[in-house]
Order: sequence, then C-alpha cells, then structure tokens
Amino acid sequence: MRFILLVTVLLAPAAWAFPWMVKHNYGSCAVCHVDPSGSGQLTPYGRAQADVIVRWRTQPRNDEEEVPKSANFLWFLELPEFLNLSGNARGGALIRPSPTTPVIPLIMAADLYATVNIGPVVGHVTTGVGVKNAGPAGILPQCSGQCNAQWTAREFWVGAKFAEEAVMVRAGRINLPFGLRNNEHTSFVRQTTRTDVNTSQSVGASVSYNSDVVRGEVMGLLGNFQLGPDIYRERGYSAFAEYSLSHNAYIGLSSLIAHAGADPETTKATTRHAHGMFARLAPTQKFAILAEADFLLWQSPQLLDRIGFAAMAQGDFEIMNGLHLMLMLEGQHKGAGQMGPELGAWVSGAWYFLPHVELRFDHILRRRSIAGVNPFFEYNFVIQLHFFL
Amino acid sequence: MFRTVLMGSLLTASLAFAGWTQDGDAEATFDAKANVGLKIHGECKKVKVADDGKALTVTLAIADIDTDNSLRNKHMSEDMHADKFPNIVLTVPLDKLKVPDAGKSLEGEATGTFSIHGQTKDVTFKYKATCSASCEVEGSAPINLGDFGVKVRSYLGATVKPDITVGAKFKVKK
Repeated sequence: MRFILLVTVLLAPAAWAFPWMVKHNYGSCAVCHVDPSGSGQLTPYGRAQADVIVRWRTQPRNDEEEVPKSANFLWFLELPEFLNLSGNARGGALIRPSPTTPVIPLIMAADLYATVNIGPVVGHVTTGVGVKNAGPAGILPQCSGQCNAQWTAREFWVGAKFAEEAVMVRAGRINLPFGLRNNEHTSFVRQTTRTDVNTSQSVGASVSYNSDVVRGEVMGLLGNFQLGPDIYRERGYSAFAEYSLSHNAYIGLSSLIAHAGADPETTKATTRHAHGMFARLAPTQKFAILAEADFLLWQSPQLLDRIGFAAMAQGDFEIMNGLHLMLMLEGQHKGAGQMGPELGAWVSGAWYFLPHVELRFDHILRRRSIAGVNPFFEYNFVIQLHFFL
Repeated sequence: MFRTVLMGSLLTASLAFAGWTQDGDAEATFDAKANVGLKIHGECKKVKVADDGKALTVTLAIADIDTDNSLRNKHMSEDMHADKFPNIVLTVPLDKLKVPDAGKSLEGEATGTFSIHGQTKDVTFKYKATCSASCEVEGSAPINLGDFGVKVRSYLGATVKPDITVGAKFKVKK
C-alpha cells in the first residue's frame, strides 16, 4: 500500500497557477497553459506573458523585443515549435514556532515538463523528484510517507484539439477539473475536496471547452494508479463550468462524486461528494477577488453520513507590476465531530523579481478543529523561491 | 435653447442633437476575441466629442488605447498602421440622433461613418441617451476589422478574430 500520510501535504510543492490573471482580462487559462483548464506548464504564449505582464519592472519594457529571450527554456534555449520543455524548481523553508524543528527546509518541487504538439495532437508529461513530499504523485520507491526521495509523475496525458482549439479531449493522468486552480494548494478548498494540482491527479478521460463566454471540463475518474491496492482508488467524475459575465467577472459551478472501496483517510468504503460555486472578479486592473464555496458530503455504509463545507475568499492586490499582496480567509468543517469549523487567515506576498523567478511568503494562521481534540491555533510561515525553467 | 428643446420635446417626444459640446471626460472601449477563449479589452480615456452643426464626431488616438499589455498595444498600433492613420473617428449626422426628454432615457439605433486604418465605412450602432442638465450617451457597434483592411495577427499561437465590438461613453451639453 503506497498511500501517503495526509500530513505530508503541507510540505507538498506549490502550484503555478494565476487565477488573478483575470485582472489582465485573461479569463480563459488555455491560451497560457498546456492544461486547458489552467495551471502547470505554460505555452509559448504564456511564457512570453510571464515576462511581459507578470514580471516586476521598475522601467517600462522594451517592446521592440517581440518574444522575450527569457521566455525560452532555461531562459535562453529556443526550441522547435512542436516541442515545449520547461521545469519547476521550488525550495524554501517552513517555519513553525515549536520547541522541536521550528525550521524545516523544503525542496518543494523538482519537476520537468515536456509537451509535444503534432498538429491537433498533444502529449504532455510532468515528472521529477519529490523529496519527502511526493504524496499520491510518487511512483517509486514505494513507501508510506517515509521516503527521502521518490520519482514522481503528476501528469501524463495525450489529447487532441478540435473546433479551432476550443475543444480538447484528453486521456491519462490529469488534474481534476474542479473550482479555482489557486496557488494555495494547502488551502481548505483544495485539500478537502482533494482537487489540488500537486498531488490530486487521477487517471481518466476528459473533455474541455474554452470560448470567450464559457469554459469548462468534465472528467471521468478511473482512480490514481499510483495508489494501491485498487480499493483505494476513487472512481466517479469531476467537472466545472465557468461563465463570463463580462471581461472582468466570472462565475462558475463545480461538481465531483467519487467512490473508493477504502477512503485513504477512514479506510472505509466511501462515496465522496463536493459541489460548489466559485467566482473571479477584477474590479480594477490592480485588484482581483477570488472566491469558492463547496458543499461536502461523505457517504459510507459502515459509518454515519457526514456533511461539511469548505470555502475561501482571497483578495489579490498588485501593488505594482510583479509585486502582489494577498489576503485570504478560509473555513471548513468535515462534519466528523469537530468542535466548530476550522478557520484560517493567510497574508501572503509574491514578488516576481526576475523573469520566471518568484519569491513568495505566506503567513498562515489557522484554528484547527479535529475530532476528539480541543480546538487549537496553529501558525506557519512559509517562504519559498521558485524558478520556472 | 435647451429649455426650448425641452419644451418642444414634451410635444414631439424627441428631437435631434444639435449645438452640443463635450461635458467632462469621455471614454471608448473595444472588445476583441482570440482562439481558446482569450479576450482582449482595450480602453481609451482621451476621447474628444465635437459638434460642427451637422454631425457629432467622436475622435480618439490609437496611441491612447490601452489593452493592459504594452506589447499588445504595440501590435495593435502596428496592425492599424497608427503611424499613417493615428486616429479612429466616428461621425454621426445630428439628425440621426434623438434626444430624450429631460430626466428620461432613450435607446435607439443610428448609422454613422466609422474611420479606421485610412478607410471609412458606414456603421450601425446602438445607443442609449439619458438627459438632465447634460446628456449622457453610451453606444456600441460591432465591426469587422477586415472590412477596414486591418490584418489581425497571430502571436505565439494566439490569433485575434477580426470581429470586434467598439463602444463609447460621453456627456454632452448645450
């Protein structure tokens, strides 16, 4: 059995997904990301915009340079049009006031991305090394959260684009289409719905659609085959659809129902539901609001049904180009006999001080509420340096 | 004069615009689409509105349009050959426009001429006018850039579609 202790998720690598790009009128993710529903590897267009829009500058950009040199793989290497290579290296430290190991060094991501485009056919692989944190993305060696290093494979899929690239059909190991693809992968909405883009991928098949008015994806889940035995694999569906109210306002619905013979948390047969709404609004070019609220239900023949929720709202203020200050409030309840909901507040900053380089910090204060334990407060400070090769 | 118009409008419901001057700031927008759901929104905060007694003219400079992306602004300027044709102009004969009664709004459709990229063509647009001490006018029209000889470009896989919507919002007063 290779399922990984859930406590390791705090150490999992962060994502590369910017739903706040709605501030810059990027409502659809597909133009900038290989994954048509967003996050992960950038397309050549996305790599260029990372330099043109996302990067911090003190002087206006020299727009005579059509395609920024720094948008190339490893900042300099021009690749043939059919091949897209990139990487994701992220390291930092988790600082948690405690008498034992108050500072935990982290190698959060060491991934390589490869995408091959041949006409309408796309093949994509994300693979790398996970250090004590690969979670359900780990392949070898097999262990139960005790490995020092594991070979990981988060995504591998083959797809085809149709209808002027508006429709994409994919099969393989794919991110679950659900809710916001926010960077805060340890947020309650991502962890409790198990839809983060770091370790929650599943094997399955999906159809996505992207137009200027509507975007969405429906995926049939066959389970995470990097977990075993088969009884732990969740099967069902996950889907979202988002409607554009205007060029700077979007509202969406998500739904997921999945069944496993043994839930990784309870080891009981469980059918898991998550159904919710999310929104992205940009009242100004400097400020974006991201919000999500999900209703949760766990059904098991061996246990009482549980209902719960997970919700978050985040304000992202772009102080100046490439310098972001974020405030996020979140809450969740798993309906498992906790004394009140779990609550959290995040104060975060992200500074894209060089092309494809990010320095980020997160102050995370949470009221934890676990069944059988008195509620307590927990504080973590995470600082990380991210190179997007 | 304005009072006369107002009084007259009580009887005739609406009259044409005439003798108007711009009142405060005006703005113009455009919305374009590209493949895979990409949307492009441009804004111009420097818009001039003038009335020469025969027509109402809305003028803006391409250099003043901002798409929130400096490289895209440059592409737009190049595609529209702004060095040769720096302005975008909408001209509407005054007798094609209706003025609502004071305190009321009126929605209508009119045809004017739209000049861009050195070419001028008739464009039918929808507008809404709300009048009190001044009249606030908001209008929009679909246009096809190809009809004006503008060749849209592809940039790293993103291809802009030629059908766009242009809009303007301004206040005028007597």
